[in-house]
Amino acid sequence: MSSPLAYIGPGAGFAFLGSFLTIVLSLLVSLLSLLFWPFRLLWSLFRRRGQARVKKTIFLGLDGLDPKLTEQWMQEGKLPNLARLRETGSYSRLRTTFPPLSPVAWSTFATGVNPARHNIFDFLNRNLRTYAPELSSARVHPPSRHLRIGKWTIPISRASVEMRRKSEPFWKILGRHAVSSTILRIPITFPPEPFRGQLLSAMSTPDLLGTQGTFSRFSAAEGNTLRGGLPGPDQSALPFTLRVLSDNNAELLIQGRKHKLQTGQYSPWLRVRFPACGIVRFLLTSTSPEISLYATPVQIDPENPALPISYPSYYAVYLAKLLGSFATLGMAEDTWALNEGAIDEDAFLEQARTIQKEREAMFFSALERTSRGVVACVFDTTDRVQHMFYRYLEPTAHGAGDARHAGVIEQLYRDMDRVVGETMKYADKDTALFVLSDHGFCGFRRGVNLNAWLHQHGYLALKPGLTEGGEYFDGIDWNRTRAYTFGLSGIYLNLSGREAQGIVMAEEAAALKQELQAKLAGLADDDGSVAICDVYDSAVIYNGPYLDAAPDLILGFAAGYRASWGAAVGRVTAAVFEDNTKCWSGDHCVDPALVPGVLFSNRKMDLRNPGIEDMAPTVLRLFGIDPPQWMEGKSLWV
Amino acid sequence: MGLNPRVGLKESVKLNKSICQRARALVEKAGYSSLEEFIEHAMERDLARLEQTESKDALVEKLKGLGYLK
Repeated sequence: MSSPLAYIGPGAGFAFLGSFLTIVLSLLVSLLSLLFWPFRLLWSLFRRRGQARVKKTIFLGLDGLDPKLTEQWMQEGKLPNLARLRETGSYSRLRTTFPPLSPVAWSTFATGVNPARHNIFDFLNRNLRTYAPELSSARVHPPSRHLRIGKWTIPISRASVEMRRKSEPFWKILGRHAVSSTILRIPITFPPEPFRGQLLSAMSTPDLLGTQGTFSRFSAAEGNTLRGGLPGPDQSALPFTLRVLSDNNAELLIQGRKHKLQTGQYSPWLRVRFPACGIVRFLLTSTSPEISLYATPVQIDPENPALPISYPSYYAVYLAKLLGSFATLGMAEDTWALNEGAIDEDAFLEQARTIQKEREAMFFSALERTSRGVVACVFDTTDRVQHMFYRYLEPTAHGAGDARHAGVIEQLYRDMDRVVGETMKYADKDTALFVLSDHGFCGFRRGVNLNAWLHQHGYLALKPGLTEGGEYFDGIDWNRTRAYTFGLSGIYLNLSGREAQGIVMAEEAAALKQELQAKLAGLADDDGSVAICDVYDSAVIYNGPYLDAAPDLILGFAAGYRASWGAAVGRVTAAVFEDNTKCWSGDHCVDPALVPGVLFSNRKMDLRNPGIEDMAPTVLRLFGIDPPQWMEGKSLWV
Repeated sequence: MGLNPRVGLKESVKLNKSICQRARALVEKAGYSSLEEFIEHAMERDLARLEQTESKDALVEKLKGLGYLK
């Protein structure tokens, strides 16, 4: 018997049949879609009841663009495009939310409702059973079913990601009326939800480790070789070797590939497999006297995302194929690395510039391709750079630093003005253009630890023998604690029936809130300066079904003050006030009246005290759609 | 972190018509955007009492890198 010359197995046949079936099904779907198209068109025209006033609406969000600085630099002729937009269209300061934080304000922008109707009150929320902190915007649920085989546990169900922002964003409503939207990097859009259009998620998208951004730093004191392991999910690590070739040059070997690195220059995005796919950039920060290497947080690879970061899921892949890989982390500019000295100011600015360029490419590509519908994009470089460089405008205990960077914020505003100018080219007579920010900015000179104040005044108790508490309420005696703080926005009562170990009875709550309001409004720093302008009762300023998740009191810090770094993570310190010594020197977690945003448009609008909640009903009206009854904002259209 | 997690998938549940009608009349007044949102909120409140929660350490780890806290 002779051996076969070739083997034709079922694989090839199945592959052919599989491809054939796919082609037939695709043709069938296309045919059906074509047949039903006139009926779908008629239905969508029927749904769109009013007369649309525009064909296209553009939202250019510049996170944290401050009205005081904008107005000053427009006055000085430094922002010609914004000034032109003001003159030919309209401009106003834009009322922000309580509290003036990006996740809260952009959620209100998207939904047109107050925080008690969209459920985002801060970056953090607390678990009422355990007092443990949680990210307020998204929750990843691990697989619920597992198979145990010996020492292995194999998940047999999939993980799920839950969006915690409630209510409904305007782009979903537009979609039901046949208006398509491209939503780029608007905060609190992770995980992405289905609608008519495409969306790339932003703030709260985690890195591959599941954190909000964990950078790595490696060093070797001797020799010309550095060996390390790049941290990945589930305590995994990818081994790498860095060999110094000369004073400024080195070669990085990771996963069998060699990459040339130069001191002070970022590598391009490099793909790594853990096996989940990630992307990372390396920066050789020094070769002598020690070798030092910085790695950005390992981010979800847009070409092969381990978690959903876009809708449809292939949209991120499409963007990466079209424009190259890009940062996907929610807050991608590595402020933590600059605070910790892992990178210097130049390296931080270079990182921020690169991320800005990536997003500009996406935004302008979307504008090129959109003749009808909505394009909305938020650039957050404005926020991150102001956080880290505000000390050049208002000195803090950290000190100003490098004189070369004295004009960084002004240059940032000029650069955003360039983006505005480019965007205006896409705004014809049938287009409404809005340039807006969610809040302004001020200095962050002094931190206030209200847990310390509550402890000193008998509202918060520590376990016996302790004079200070650790992070996230470590050391607090809940059975004797009536109020506590964490996060950036407010004070929570330890309410019986709500908090697991609550002791404040419902009938006592109103009086306790009033007592705290009276004592804390006007609270003075050690030098007599007022640190808290006002304290607001959330039951008065909010209304909606999620009120229970809100802080009971919202703090209106004075400019220059904020919740201290310790208070933000639930620590109880000995002193109430402390200097802010970090590079993070600008902030906006103050009284909302002090940090409104900006609103420019190419159209004339009714600008009597506009608020960020007015944007969603405004865009609905522009497309001839009546805002739903639950939406609270008012259309700005004259 | 698991791969290919499910997001935003919906499941149909049959509910008593009269309770739905009573709820539908009130959801918008209460500030919900839909009956579905109202029902999900009601379920979440009970689930929060009944479900196992992640350890505090695991939750804190997820917040790592959030610039406002560091």
